[in-house]
Amino acid sequence: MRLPAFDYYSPTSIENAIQIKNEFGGSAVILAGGTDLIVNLKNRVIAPSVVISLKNLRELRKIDLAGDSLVIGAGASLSQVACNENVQRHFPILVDAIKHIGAPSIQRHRGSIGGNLCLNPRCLFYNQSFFWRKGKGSCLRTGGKTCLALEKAESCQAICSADTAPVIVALSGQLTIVGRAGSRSCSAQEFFTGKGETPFNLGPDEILTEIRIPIPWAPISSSYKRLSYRSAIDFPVINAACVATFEQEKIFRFRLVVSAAGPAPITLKDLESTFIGREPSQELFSEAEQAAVRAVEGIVVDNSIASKQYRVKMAGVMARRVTQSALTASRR
Amino acid sequence: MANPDYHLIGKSLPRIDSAPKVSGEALFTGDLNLPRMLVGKILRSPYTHALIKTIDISKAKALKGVHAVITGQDTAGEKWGVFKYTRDQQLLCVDKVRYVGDEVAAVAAVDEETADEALDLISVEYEELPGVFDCFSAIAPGAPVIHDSHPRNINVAVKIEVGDVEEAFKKCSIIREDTFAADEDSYFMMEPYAVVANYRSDGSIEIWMPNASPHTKAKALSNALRIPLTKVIARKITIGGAFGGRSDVFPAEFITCLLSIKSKRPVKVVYTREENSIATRMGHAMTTTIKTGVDKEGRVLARDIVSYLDGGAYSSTGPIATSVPFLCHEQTYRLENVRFHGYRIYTNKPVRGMIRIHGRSFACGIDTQLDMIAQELGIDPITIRLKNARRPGETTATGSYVSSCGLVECIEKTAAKSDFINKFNNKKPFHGIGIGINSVQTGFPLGIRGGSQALIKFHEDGGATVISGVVDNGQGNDNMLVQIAAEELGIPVEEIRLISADTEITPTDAGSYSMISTFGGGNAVKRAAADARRQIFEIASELLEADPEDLVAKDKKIFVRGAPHAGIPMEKIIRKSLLIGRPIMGTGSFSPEVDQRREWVSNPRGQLSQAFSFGATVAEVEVDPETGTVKAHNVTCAQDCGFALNPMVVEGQFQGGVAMGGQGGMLTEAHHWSQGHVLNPTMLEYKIPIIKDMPNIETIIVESIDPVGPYGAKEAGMSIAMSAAQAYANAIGNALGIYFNRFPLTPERIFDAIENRKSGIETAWDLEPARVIEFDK
Repeated sequence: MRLPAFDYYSPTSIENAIQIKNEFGGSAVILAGGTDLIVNLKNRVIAPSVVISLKNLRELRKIDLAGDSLVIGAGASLSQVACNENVQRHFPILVDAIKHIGAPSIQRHRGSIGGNLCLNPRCLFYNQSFFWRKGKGSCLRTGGKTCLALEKAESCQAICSADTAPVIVALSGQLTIVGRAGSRSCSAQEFFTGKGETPFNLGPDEILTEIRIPIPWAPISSSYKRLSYRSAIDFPVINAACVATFEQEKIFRFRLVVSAAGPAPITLKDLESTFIGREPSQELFSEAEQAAVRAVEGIVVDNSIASKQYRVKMAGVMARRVTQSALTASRR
Repeated sequence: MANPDYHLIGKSLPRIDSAPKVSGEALFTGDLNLPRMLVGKILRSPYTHALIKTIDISKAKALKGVHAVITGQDTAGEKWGVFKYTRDQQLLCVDKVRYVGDEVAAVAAVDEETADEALDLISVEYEELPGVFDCFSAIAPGAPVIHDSHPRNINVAVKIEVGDVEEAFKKCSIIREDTFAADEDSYFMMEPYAVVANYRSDGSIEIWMPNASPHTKAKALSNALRIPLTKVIARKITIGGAFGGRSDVFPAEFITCLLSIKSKRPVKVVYTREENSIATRMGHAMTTTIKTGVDKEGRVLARDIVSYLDGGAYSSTGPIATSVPFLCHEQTYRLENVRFHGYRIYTNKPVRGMIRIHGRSFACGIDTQLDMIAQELGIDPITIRLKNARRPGETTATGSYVSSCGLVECIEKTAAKSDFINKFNNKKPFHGIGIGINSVQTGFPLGIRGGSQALIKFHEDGGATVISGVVDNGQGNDNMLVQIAAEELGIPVEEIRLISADTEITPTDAGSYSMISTFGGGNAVKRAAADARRQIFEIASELLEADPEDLVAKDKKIFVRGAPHAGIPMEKIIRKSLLIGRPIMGTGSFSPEVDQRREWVSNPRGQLSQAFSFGATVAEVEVDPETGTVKAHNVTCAQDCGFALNPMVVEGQFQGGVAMGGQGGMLTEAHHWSQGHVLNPTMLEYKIPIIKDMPNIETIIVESIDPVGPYGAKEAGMSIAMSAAQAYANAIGNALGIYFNRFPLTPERIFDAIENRKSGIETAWDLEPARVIEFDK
């Protein structure tokens, strides 16, 4: 399979990159590793006229402590992030998530953290070859009028399949986005729109440059788990991340995020208040499970190798397991 | 087992093809580049079922860089089928397409971009027809008919009846009827399919492609292209896996040849992974209803089986595929009264062929039901198998004499090594152990299938070249041939060259399917080497003034037994033979003794194969009951391979068999569908296991020393590949106390069975049974 024709830029400064992105807008895509992008280009699911590579932007590969945050350049490779001392010390959950991505030799060396966050949401009816889609007809995301997975859907229901997405959201990450008008900050949760066609809160002239994760003032307990059918080189059937802090033996802060369900990671907001002040218990873990099932029920559709019913139930199981694991693990 | 009489055979030597494959030196069809070569591309049907109204190729032909465009109009509707009575696949569709992927037109152009552009410029007007996508809908009255010649879409109907089944059921103390089903599976060879064709001005055509029999391909192409067989030359090339999926003849070979003839240039077609999945072959989806009756001890007295095989759009190896699951079963188990109805049914899906683990629902059904019966009787899975397992010297239900058989030893050794009975009786929660057994043929007749011949010539330095028609498509056939010749000639492996699988040079061979290569091709090379050695000894006996009977060939020397120091170097004998005008050329041939009157549909009785291999696999698993995921911890497998010519290669085949049959075949590998469109044509969503998923594997080689196989060898690994699925299924069943009847056992299915658990000795799901089809006519 061949790549379609496009113009290729590899700017050496962010300013230059923004300039090019601004010039071509929506018809330009960012290449930040390419382990997903190249496949999508070959399958013609996207047909940009311009590809802008970030490979020459050294400043996007830095990982530094800045004030009360760890700042990870969006262009840092996944293995670079996973091997970074500060990441390992403060956010082992992120290391864990990265270890689940693809294959070490390809995705983790070639793929970048920003690229993983911006992974195009996936769908069995969308991530197919041009030939395949010709036979089945176009979907909402490829210029058609109907969603092939859910007949009456108003927007694309594709699945956010990034391993790092629920983790960065659970860690209350802040994303730095640079555009023509300058730089702005956006919470990781807000970064995901929930719409498969336009999954990220990014303007046509904007580029994701940094992920800032606040260093917690107290030791955090965290856990990431995913269900998949193969032990590597696979996307999650469902995944979940939980981050909590304690005051004495009671939960002080709690965040549970379930993903690979719909186009955006799902934060179980209610639990963030109802779990405060409680101690870990089987009852509490079950509440997390039930809350997750309720939260994903209206979101999951039949667009993955696993059925809707199964994924909904597994969202509950994964949510319970990360909650239990985070709340009973030793704190860091 | 090391045999002191052999110096190379029976030893674990590295395969001669390993280093080139590891280093990247080995070249596959996709790597071939000939001067002036064009890129070929095929336009395929995007519809499951449609009439072709018009095809307009004028724009494509006019595109700069396009050298040839062909459609069904160029082929006179030429059709392919393995048997004369199954020729139903037009090599390029003329009037109708029957599945998504059916070949409609093809182009050859200077590069891939131009070829792609040319495909886009071909306009085809279709009239869509309703399709059928499963066996039960396809045979329903009023269903759309895919081939007008086949009402109710029944492609092949096989009926076998032996003994008095009804009478025998009356004598049974337990009778069960259960239905088992399995989805389609695929091969996912590492090498996607590719063809290079080179038509030359003398009217001959060379062709390279992954294959299981260059001679069979050449014959089919000669017929279809109407070029004399002598001028159709299938060349040798490295092949990256077959697993039964390269045996057939595909339209792409014919199309690439036509493009080369038309453009008068070499043409290369390389399939995408998706094309490899949909437009070569797949495994059949299958539903099998099994009624079994046993006596009080658990001996099977009667069995009645009906199988529906979803064959996809065309026949392919239809009659064989329909019969083989039953035949493996009748080899494995003693059956005096048995009836089998097998129906291969057309659907608007990709074409199904033979696959290394063919018949999951059949074999798993037999072995699962046997465990259910054992539970009813209060006996264990090992005991009930030993009561019914095949022994040597017996004859199968359809009349094949079994001369060598180590099945009982396989069962006993796997059970002992895995501590089966103890683990079965003292179960840990959510841990399970299960056994599967099976048997395969070492070649079967294919209508006019011949034997194998080999030639051996010598070099003046004492080295030799073996010339054989056997093809190696990954299993190690090349090494097998060389190791045998080296043993017989007393020449080191490194000093033997091999020319194989080239129809211009090598003599004919039966093809590397149905597990015949060692038994057939190996024997032919052994005989050719023995013939050459006889000639060598004649000359040596004159030089040594010794009786040829007393001579030994070893380490490139010929000497009188017991006196290696006084040996004559091989090169001296070779030179001498040239001087005296008696150049040495060994020839040998082997044709297995099978009943050539046996026919798959019209006469399914008589000796099917001269030898059979037998195997047993035990799996130990742990199930996560909250997610349905399975972790396989240990697999113990034993196979009677006759004699292990190269134990390392044999063990590798066992391990591959566990990966494909058990880990992949039973846990994850299945195609998913949306109205005839396959949802997972590539490796990302078709979950082939990777090395990290694999369990620890214990291999046990059982050697029954077949009287006819070379050194007693039969075949390596297939009885493991075909028993691993049952072992996994029964182990998971044992872990949960559930008898599964839909395969593969994906986490989702296991989870569903746990949630909807039934009481009593029942299968997990109520499936529509496969019933005998009454014909109207």
